Amino acid sequence: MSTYIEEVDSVDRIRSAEFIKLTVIGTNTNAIYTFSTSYKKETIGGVEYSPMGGLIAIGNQQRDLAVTAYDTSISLAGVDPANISLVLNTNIRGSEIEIHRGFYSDGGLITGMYPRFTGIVTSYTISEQREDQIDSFSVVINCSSYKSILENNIGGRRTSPDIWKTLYAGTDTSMDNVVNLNGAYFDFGVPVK
Amino acid sequence: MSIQNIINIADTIQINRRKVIGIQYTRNEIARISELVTRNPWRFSVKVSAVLRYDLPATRALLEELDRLDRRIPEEITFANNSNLNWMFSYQGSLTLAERNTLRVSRFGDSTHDYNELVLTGLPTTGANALPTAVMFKKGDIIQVSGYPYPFTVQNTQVLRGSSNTISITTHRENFIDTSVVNGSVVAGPAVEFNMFCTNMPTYTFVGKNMVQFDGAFELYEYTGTIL
Repeated sequence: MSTYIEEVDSVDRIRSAEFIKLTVIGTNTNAIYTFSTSYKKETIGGVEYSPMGGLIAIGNQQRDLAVTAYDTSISLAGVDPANISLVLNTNIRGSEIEIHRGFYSDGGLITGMYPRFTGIVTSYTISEQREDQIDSFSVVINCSSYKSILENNIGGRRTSPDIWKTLYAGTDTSMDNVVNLNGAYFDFGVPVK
Repeated sequence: MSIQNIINIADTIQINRRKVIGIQYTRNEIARISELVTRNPWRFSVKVSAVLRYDLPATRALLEELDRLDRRIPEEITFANNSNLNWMFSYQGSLTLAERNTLRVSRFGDSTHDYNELVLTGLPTTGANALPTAVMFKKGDIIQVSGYPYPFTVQNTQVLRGSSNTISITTHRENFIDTSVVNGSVVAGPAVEFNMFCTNMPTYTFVGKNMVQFDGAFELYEYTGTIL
């Protein structure tokens, strides 16, 4: 199934902004941070996205027809100490990140929202660059798409009767004899006496 | 009052209202334009006369105030206080100042109406400006909601009084102030205020006894960060 984006079809001019939803997984509750590159607050799906809420830029995003693994980054203005606190005082690594792109009419009304990136935060960087009298301060969070995560994921099942039966409601007996084989000595190649 | 003082003694003022736009050309040379929705801030590049007299108390006070503001503190400026500059944003309609003061914001965008559509009420009901053909605003007129120093310009060719209780104006940028402007009064013409800070505050050099000159232009940028 394909998603038809009518806002960019057969038009020669678009107006857009990006909306970021960062969900920091907590022990008891999750903290959700939402911000956008839009010019004003927008409430989308019951969630309010603050305009330029410390957001400087969003990194390059690869666009492919097929699902591909790629990374991107989000830069936050370090002028606001809250952004540094966000990355240092929370478990930001592993947080879920969603980036949507919203299209606007000439009158500033949102005409459509489309997902652009879904992944998790893998690392962050805090940097300060002082050159002459210009002090630039930024927080960059790097994000990997879920496909990257899955590619690096090591998965599998243990070959024990209990594990095997959890999936098939106790009916799978394939591994029942594995316990008997534990520690057994096999004299491969020896003639049968 | 230092940025205002710089405006008052400006030799040249360059205005930049360009939007954030990316243009790509297809293989067959058709332009594709992508615009980021922004607050489209006003940007002024102001140059002042080559040399100022340092022995005037006003000059020393000006320099001290500029050093205090530096590139960090915004200041509200207006073009109304100076007869040499107030022509820049002069009001082109036929409303008197008293009639303009009765105008109120009825709507400036909501979830179903464009955010660049400013609807005003409180129109004149008597006199020449109560006639439907009376010109309320013309293209290029500048208008501000009182208390919010963020001017908008009129994009309609002209806005006539009409027979309704309201008039609709298309502004050059969307309302980013939010719905708190509803019922607010408006300011039109040179008395509008700009909330500007100086992104490039030039240094100054003494070039002779009691003579000082700035080493570049004042790059002013509209500060909209107070509206979140």
